[in-house]
Amino acid sequence: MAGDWKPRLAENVSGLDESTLRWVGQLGLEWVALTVTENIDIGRKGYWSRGDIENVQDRCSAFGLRLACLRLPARWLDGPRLDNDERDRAIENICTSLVSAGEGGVAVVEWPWSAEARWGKDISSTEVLDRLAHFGDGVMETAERAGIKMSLRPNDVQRIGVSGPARVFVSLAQIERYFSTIPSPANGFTMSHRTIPGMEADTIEAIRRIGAAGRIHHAEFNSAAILPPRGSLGEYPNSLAVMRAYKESGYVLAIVSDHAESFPTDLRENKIGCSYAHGYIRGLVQAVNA
Amino acid sequence: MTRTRRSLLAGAAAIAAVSFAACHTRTGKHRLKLGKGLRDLSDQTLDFYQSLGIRHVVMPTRYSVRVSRRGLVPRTDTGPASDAPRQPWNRDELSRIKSRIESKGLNPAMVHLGRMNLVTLGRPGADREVDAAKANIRLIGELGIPVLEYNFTPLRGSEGYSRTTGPSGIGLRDYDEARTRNLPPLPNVGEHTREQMWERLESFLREVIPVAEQSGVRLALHPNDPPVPVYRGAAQPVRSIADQIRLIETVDSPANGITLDTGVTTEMGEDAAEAIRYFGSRDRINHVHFRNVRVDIPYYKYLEVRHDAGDCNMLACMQAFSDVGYRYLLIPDHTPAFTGDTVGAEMSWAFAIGYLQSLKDAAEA
Repeated sequence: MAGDWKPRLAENVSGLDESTLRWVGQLGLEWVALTVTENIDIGRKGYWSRGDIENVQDRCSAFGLRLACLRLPARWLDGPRLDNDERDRAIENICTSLVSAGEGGVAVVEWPWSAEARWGKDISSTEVLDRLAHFGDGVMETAERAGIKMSLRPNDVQRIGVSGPARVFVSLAQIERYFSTIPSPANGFTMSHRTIPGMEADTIEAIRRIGAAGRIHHAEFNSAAILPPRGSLGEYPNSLAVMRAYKESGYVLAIVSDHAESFPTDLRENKIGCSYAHGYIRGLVQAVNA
Repeated sequence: MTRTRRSLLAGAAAIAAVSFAACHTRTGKHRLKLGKGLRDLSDQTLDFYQSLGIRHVVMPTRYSVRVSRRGLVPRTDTGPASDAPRQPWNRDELSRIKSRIESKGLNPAMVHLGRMNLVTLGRPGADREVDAAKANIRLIGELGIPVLEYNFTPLRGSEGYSRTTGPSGIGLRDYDEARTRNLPPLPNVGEHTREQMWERLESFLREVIPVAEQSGVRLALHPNDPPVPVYRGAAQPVRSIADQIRLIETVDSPANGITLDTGVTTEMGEDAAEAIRYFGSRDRINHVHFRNVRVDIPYYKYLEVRHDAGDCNMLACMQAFSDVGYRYLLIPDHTPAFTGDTVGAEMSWAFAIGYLQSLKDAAEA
């Protein structure tokens, strides 16, 4: 209905094969978020050109879809993360990619920061934060000019066996401190509300507050909380309240399913579990608009 | 004074409010039973629906463990192959099916009676089919299954359906009565007037409803689907809200109820949520099919679509079911065909069930 809240209901996809894009469209989604992007760089230049982005958009539009979000290849961040000789050239290439993405009509670029296994044990969190600040200083202004919202993927606090000083984004306070350090409106993050209880924060309050500040640039809607087999409903906030918080915060960017259940007969890309999740998400959006 | 269908439905909201207060609280214990129809009893099927959170199912009357694909367009109804009366179910077979379902943590909550050709066509031997129906009602009562659904048509307007393609190539079913308008009666079916059909239906109800009451079973008549007046010379007796009202007033008993099909109700050009409040507040909805359509010409031309994508406001329907305290099964029906889906169409059913579960959670919040 006119006037309804319409976030960009989307799905994270790792490729642009026909069966995946057709499935996304048949679910009634209009947007995709591409998570594996190194291969869209035609010629392995180390950055995305305008033509690269247009190729992706054309591929999506052939299925009635639009590109909501691109994730930077993790390898492109190795220079800034490891602070090696490639750092400044990597930042320059990323800036070129952001300009191309903006010209190609992409609104959000997601960037993964963690690389724990490769950092080694000796690095301090201060050093990691310095590297982050350098990266942010290098790209946020370009992103802002290009009309791109950068979305940081926080560390997954629920992953077992990963710890150490390099994990600097395991609390909301740490993430928000980074927004203060680099206050550009291009600087935001991916809200995965599965991770918020692990940060010992109130999920609903966090979505309302950070969303209203315009710092949520991509949203992964936790399916573990909506499908009975994963259980533990008590651990998670009420899904309807979560969706209502997104609406109230004025969030209008992409919402993708996250950690959907996989069934014994499931298809590639977990299509059955994700289909359930998207049915559920669709109903929630309808409910908060009622 | 003439009662119109509209005037009847207009008072439904007030009655629904009374009913709500009497049997149900928003925070309370009553929960809608989202279920699923079963076509087979394989581990794959039963485990899949159980893991989707389904706990109540429609019980098939044939024991099969073969997962089969359901066609998007129904098979052409060619009428009865013989004049042999339908036989009652075998108790051992039904018990075995029930045990199999229960072993997977699922609760058989409804059974479909199956076709009664002699009854609907008014042929010799109809009394034996009525006796079989009575025996079946008693049997499911003894097995503790609360609802028996049935259809009442001499011939279903199946030739009006066709497969079409929707956005991104999704397979959809459309219906256009113009495809069948000039088709002649089938020799093995013949012509049947509306008056004849109602005479047979009323006679059937007067025979079986007392048995249902004694057996603790509720009957649910599915409206004629498609809801056209006549198909190949065979009148469709229960194809409108007025017909459904006539049905429940013919024998005034909670055992004499309807299947509220949100799709068919919308195909009639009606507001399904309003119909739910009317029939639900009178405790005459005994089974629910949840599906959605886009209607071009009410009764005659429409497109069956994904549950979230049609003219029927599914959330309003779910809220209405919750408000009237509906206690029986509610199943998704007729999903579109997703490209590359499994034989059991698990992708499309997963979407439908996720969507309905979400609406249910919202309505009960």
